[in-house]
Amino acid sequence: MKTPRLSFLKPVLIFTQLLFVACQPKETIEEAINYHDLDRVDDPIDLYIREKLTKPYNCRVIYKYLDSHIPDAFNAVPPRRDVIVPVVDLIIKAWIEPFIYGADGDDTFIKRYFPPEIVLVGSPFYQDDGTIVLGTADSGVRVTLTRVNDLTQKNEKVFAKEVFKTLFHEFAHIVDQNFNFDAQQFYELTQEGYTSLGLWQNISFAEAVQRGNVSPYATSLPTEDFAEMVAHIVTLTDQEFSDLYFDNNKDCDFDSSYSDCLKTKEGQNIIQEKYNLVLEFFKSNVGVDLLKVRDAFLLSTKSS
Amino acid sequence: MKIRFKHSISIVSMLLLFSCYKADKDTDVFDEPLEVRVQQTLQKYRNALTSSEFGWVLNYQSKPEFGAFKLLLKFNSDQTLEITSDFLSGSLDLPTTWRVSKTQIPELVIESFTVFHHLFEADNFINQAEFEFFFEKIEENNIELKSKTDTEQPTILKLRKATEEDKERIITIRNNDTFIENNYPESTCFRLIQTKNEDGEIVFEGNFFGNNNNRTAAICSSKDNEPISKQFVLQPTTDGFKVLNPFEINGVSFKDFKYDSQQKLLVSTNNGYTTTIYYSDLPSKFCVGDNSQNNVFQENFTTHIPTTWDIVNASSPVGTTDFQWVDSFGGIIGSYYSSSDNSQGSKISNWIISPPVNIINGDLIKFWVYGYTQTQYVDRLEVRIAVKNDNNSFVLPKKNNPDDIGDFSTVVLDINPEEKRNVFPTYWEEMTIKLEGFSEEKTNVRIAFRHLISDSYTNGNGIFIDNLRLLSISCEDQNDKKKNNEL
Repeated sequence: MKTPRLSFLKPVLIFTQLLFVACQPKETIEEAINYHDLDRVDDPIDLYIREKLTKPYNCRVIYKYLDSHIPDAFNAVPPRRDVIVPVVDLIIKAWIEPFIYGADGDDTFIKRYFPPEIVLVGSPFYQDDGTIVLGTADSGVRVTLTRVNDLTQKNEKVFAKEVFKTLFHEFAHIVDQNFNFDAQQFYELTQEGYTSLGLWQNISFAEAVQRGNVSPYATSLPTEDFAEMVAHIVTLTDQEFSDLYFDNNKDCDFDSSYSDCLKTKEGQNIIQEKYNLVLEFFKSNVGVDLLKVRDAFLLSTKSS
Repeated sequence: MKIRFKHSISIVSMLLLFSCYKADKDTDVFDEPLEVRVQQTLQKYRNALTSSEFGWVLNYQSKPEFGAFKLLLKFNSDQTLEITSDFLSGSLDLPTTWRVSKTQIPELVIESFTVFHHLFEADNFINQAEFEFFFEKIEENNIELKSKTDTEQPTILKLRKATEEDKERIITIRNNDTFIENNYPESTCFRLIQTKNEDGEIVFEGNFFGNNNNRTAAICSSKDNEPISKQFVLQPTTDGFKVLNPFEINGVSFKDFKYDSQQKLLVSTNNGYTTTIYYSDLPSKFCVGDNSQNNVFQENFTTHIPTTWDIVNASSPVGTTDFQWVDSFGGIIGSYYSSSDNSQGSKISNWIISPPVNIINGDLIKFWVYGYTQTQYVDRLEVRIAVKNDNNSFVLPKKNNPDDIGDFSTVVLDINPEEKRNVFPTYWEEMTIKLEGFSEEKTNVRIAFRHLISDSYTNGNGIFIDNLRLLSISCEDQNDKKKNNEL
């Protein structure tokens, strides 16, 4: 007798809950802000974003000030209206188009995995102690691009180089979350070379390289190492990356620096392996040639 | 089985009715559903803002201790907002949109960067300004807004319905904030305030320093050999400025200062007493301390690197980048020079060297500096001085020779000498150097900024410098300096 009653109640309860949920949101004044308050049909910038990013890439750009997008205990100001279109153009030119080029002209990847929401902030996030925070990625859904008021026609190259290093780092996390990069491979290469979150700041750049990481921050976690590797591959020229991170068959002098030099060579060899793993992962699993992405990115910022 | 099914349908239907019963009840009481009523309320606020044909005018004072900015806000029904302000010739009256929406209660948000946001961000948020507001009061001719962000003592903005003339009136006075700033004429570098009684005797004298960013003036003087410093809050008027907390001497208060274009001074008279603010070659004899120092040399790197400056790339290998002009990047200060490191693996020694300037012991060098990505690649900056009182020219550091310093043997500042992380400023920060150990007589020097990295393989990413000022305690030979430096 008990079993039929339970099977009867279960769908009813679920249905009731659904009804309750369905009725509830419209009845509360506490609901989150409606994005329709931000998007306006007659605003030329909104229309531009809709045509250039929202329709083709399903990406909403939030540039009008919304304090819920500013982390607690931070201060920030919104962008000037005149920088929005150039920033959108730069996103297309230096991010979307390079990834399409890297996928041999196929836009499937970028359309599917491009962040659904980009938040533009005019200033950095200022903390009370005077320090600042730059771009952030929230759960692979939203990427926040700070300091966009710094962009002018004349400094676009400098701006793109610095800002997109952060963006590509955050985008790498999105790729990792969707394509599951095997971070164990990185861990096996570096092992105890990884620090822990918060401790990476005590690591110098040289030490990071000796541990087989492209930056001190990359020593914090294998997933951060992966994101840093992607960001550095895409934003540095072949020559720059090679000069910074590859052994290039340099000999070590038999002096006091000998031991350090050997450690560096060891780290460089690890970086070379990670570099190859990342390129292979992108090519085989993601369908994107990261070196082609880099070439297109550097070309896009060079011509500006 | 069939019966159980029917029972199920009946119970589900009852639950359905019950689950939405409250909402139906709600509309019975209030005529409209909650969301509709919320939208109607918001629309009422929107209508109030757009109801004024010529907009709303206000004196915006973010805190009582700061001066006032005259603003006209024209809220259009397409949600654009036209701002007319009396600040910086209206250069920050940028186009924006506005929004009345709800978070917990209805709020007005100015959505894009304008004069409000500049005042909010300026000088490390010292103004405690705002750009998000709650509605405090709505009347036909008046609206009161309350700061959303300033929670301890929220600023109240009192908006009055504007007349057709208000906009023009603000435009008329918008260039008069130059009366507040210390825009020294060519041959002077001090600004004095002096009060005389009806017999022409001086009863008060001090130095006057204006700051247009927060519309304040500091007056320094002394009484019984003790320094006095007071701050006053100002607002530009059609013919000068008014002091909102009146300046008082011997029981006589002075409120309105009018500009006398012939004599180039600001005058206020009351009860036989006259107070004037004027430019002078010398500081007030009653004034003591650093406040008596004034600009004798300034470089804002506005459009290019001046030809009077020298750039030396002494890095080895030379690499591809040295100090170069970059358009405004920091946003707050204008334009600057950058020393970026592209010469990977080299010793970086990039120099930018000022033209000759005259200093005397005790002068101040002030400039703003900022380093990129200091969490990863640390930077170091030296400020060096070369002294040359003979007629020989200054010897500059040799190119491609990172250890060579030429005549620049005196280090007056070394930011991050040990090249450690988290030492170099990660965003624009003002540096002040007091020149000590120099002659009490004028000394001919060049000031050098040296981006120095012992090994760019491990460190160095790029630094930015802006708004260099040399502040002297004396105006002596000011004209000579200007000739020398092509100021």
